[in-house]
Amino acid sequence: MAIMEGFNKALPLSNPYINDWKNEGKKVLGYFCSYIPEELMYAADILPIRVRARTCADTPMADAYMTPTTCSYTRCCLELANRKQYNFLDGIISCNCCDQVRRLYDNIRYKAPFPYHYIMGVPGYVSDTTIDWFKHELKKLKLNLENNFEAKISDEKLYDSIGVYNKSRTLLKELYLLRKHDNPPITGTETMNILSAGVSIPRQQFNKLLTQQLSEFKGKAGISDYKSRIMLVGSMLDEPEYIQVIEDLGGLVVTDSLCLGTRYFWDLVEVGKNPIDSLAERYLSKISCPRMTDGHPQRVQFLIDLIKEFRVDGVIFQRMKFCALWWAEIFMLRDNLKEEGVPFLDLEREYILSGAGAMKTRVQTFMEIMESR
Amino acid sequence: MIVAGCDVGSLTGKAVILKDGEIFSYSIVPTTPKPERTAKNAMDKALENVNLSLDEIGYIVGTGYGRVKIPFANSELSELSCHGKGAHSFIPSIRTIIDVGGQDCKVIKVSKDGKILDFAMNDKCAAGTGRFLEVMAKTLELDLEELGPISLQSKNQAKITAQCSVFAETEVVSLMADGIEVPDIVAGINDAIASRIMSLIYRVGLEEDLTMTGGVAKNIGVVTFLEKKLGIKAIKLPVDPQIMGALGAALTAKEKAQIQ
Repeated sequence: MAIMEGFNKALPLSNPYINDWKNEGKKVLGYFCSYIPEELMYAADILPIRVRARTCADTPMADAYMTPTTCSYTRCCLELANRKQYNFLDGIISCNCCDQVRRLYDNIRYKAPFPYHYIMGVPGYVSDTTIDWFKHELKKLKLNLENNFEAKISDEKLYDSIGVYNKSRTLLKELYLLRKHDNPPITGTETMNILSAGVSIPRQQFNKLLTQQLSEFKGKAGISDYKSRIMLVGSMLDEPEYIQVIEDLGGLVVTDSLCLGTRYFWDLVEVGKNPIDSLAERYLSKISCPRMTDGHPQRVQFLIDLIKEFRVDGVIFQRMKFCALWWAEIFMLRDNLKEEGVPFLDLEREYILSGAGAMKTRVQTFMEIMESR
Repeated sequence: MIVAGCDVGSLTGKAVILKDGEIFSYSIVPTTPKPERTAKNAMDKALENVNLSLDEIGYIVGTGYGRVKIPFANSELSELSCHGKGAHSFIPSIRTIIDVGGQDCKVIKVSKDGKILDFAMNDKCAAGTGRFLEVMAKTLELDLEELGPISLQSKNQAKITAQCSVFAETEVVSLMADGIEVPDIVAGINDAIASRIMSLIYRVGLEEDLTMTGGVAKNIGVVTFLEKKLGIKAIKLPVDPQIMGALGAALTAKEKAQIQ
């Protein structure tokens, strides 16, 4: 699987693709949430990468600044920022997606500043008024990027950028369509490698790799030695090892509602009209994260549609400890799934996999429940 | 036909030997740092009781935290399925099983055929488990077995608020310093465990009949406080509730041996 290696090379925080990009004298910005439009940065010839922290082993410094009762994703990011592990970044862009990510931004600015910081406002619900507001926010961000990085983000460049990212979303959807098969050609673990690479390398290179990968899958014998088809739902997850634990026990992950997964690529940006307007509408009304206060009915419907389309046997909710948004959402979703008669497992986790033994007991029991149905 | 189940838990190892479907022998031994050794100790003891040797056992199912490390097990099953099966074999009307073991607290829901339907387990924390009680007994210089009966003597129950076993210990120490009577403190401890169990029951939903398994089911204090909160009685098992996991494993071994 030579192409897979192309994705795997992108997994470290700083990877060869980023180095090549920087060697051309171009900038790299880190962003923290799928509500921040990468298209705007890419149109300014800036590489946007999702800030991840998989190399974080422990968080003594971050615990001191943020208390141990904030989610481990934000604490891991702060720890690595304090340890200068993100030095390859020329700056960060954050938003008010949740309070913990906001406080992460404050702490980074205060304790481990970058040459450039920006925090944008993302409205908490969808209406004509909030979409207008969000358009203003995007215009402000565009202007700020132009001024700080001496770039001109013309409509043409923005159209191109939207085209590249839409292409990427279409390819990812094609990948997911293959996972609907009885014998999917790809595991959930491998898919997570691809998804993580997507937000860590230049988009055009990613699209090329993924196109090659998709054609390689055609004619490949699929996976048949699994017990159940699993959907994974919940907080920020970019760890293939986590999914590996589930798949080692016979649960093939075939789809998800994750911010690096379906919620990241399911909806396209409309082309043919004012690009800022299209971006604002897409990002605000896409399949939402529980940060959006009025999005629960949409999220339930999305989940139920995916369960049917991908013939999901059971749903695993993974909620990061102290991720209050997902915690409350999952409690409601449990009732929704009960009504639908879909088995589910509610798993608490930390950002970095720990206590795999306890996780195995729970997942194995879940497999036994599904087998005996 | 002779089969066996072996349950390697966090604090104890258990083995049950079945002869023609009936409990022939069982053992409970302390856990060692090596699950393989704990399993062997438990199995050896159960075999010794009835003068059997390992090769006379037709099929063995392993369960518990060390389930994949049991060298002589033919297959394995999660302890949740096993506790469900074990308890249901004695009381067919059972629908909810509360298993409080060394490091876990579980609420298990089973169907009328004893198949596991749903479960809830404590998250990564020892509060509300056997380990918590062990720490508390040590702090109060009591034997683990005394915690149940002593708490029933309480006249003015102390309130333990900390959700964490480490902080609860601090709370207990300050209650002792304030001169609060030991039965009142122990009542507070047992009540705190019952509260943790209630939170899990709320997650899964209560369906009668209900029973308790695992080592903590032997603590009459926890059982009494829980019954008070639930407003119903827990049905008492006719054998040691701590061996329910190993028994469920042995019953599974019986089914597997019949298929073979």
